[in-house]
Amino acid sequence: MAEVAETRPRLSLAQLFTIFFKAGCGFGGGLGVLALLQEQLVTLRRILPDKELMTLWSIGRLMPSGTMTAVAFAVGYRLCGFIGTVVALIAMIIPGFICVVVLTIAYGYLAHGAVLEYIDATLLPAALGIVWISAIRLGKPLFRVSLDIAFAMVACLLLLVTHVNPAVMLLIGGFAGAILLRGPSEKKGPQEGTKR
Amino acid sequence: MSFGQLLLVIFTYNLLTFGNGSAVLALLQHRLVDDGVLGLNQFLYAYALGRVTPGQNNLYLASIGYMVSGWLGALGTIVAIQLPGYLVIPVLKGYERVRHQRSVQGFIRGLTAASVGLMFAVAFNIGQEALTGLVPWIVFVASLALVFLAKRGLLAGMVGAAILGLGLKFILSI
Repeated sequence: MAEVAETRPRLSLAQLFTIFFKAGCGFGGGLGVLALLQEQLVTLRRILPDKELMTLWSIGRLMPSGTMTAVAFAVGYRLCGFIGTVVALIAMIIPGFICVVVLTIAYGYLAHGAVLEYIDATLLPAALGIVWISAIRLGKPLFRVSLDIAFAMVACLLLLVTHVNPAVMLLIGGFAGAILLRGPSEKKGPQEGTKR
Repeated sequence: MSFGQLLLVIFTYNLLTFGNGSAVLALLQHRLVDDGVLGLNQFLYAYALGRVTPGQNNLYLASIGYMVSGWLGALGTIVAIQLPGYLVIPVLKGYERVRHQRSVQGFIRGLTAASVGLMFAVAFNIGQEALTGLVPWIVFVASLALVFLAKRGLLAGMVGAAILGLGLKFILSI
């Protein structure tokens, strides 16, 4: 990551913690977290180009951990070195971890009540909204007539129909891309534009 | 089941399935429920928590850890499932060295395109689970409207729409 280190944006550990803590408040699973992270890193603070975040997320999907864990490690390391990985991960996990453990302690009271049903009927659809927004924003560079969008559509359909392991599907997409999509995409991202 | 066994089971299953949530779930159900470590209701409750709490879905494993070994179990399981994520750092370092090769650029383009497809597939699947009635649909549309039309941030849009949904559920239940 030598090239990246040269252009590493200045960010304090406290700022890194704040970004990932906010992201960790996202509902809707990893994509909900990604949506908030994208808003913080790409839209508001312009620390990363969206294409770079999408690449990190794609590589993160191939890691044997939660995808967002790998993204937190990658972004934390890139922005603040090794300590950044620890700070980013802890910040991202705290909101969910506390909620999960508190609700587990309350198991006796909640297991047979309607509270979870209420949460399920309200928070999940609300989170779905930001999940769709995130998918649209991050997928935006692909929304043009190209082989890339064809790849995305085929992958989406296969995942919905065959329920194949997503990591396997991504690897197939990668290897097919190495054969059919050789070279950078036509629309260069800000970071790529500065490279040789 | 001892604390050490719990960590070993969760670490191994997570590693073997590449973090694939449903595959881990199936394996854990077999190991924990069928072997009598947890009741089915406890197991399903823990899984449900992963859906209704913030953060990644796999945080439900903290609930299982807590049920089996208390606070130590909750913390231990979370550490066990996160650690393999550090593999991403050497992978990215390797990627930086070869990212200018055409075949690598093609691989990343294909991987990214497939990831976008995956995101829409996941969003579609969540939609099938979440949009089960009028209130969820209203909440969903409200969250989009708050973000796009009212120009609220994502978190504000989500919380605002959820509060609207809670209000509607409450009114409809009277």
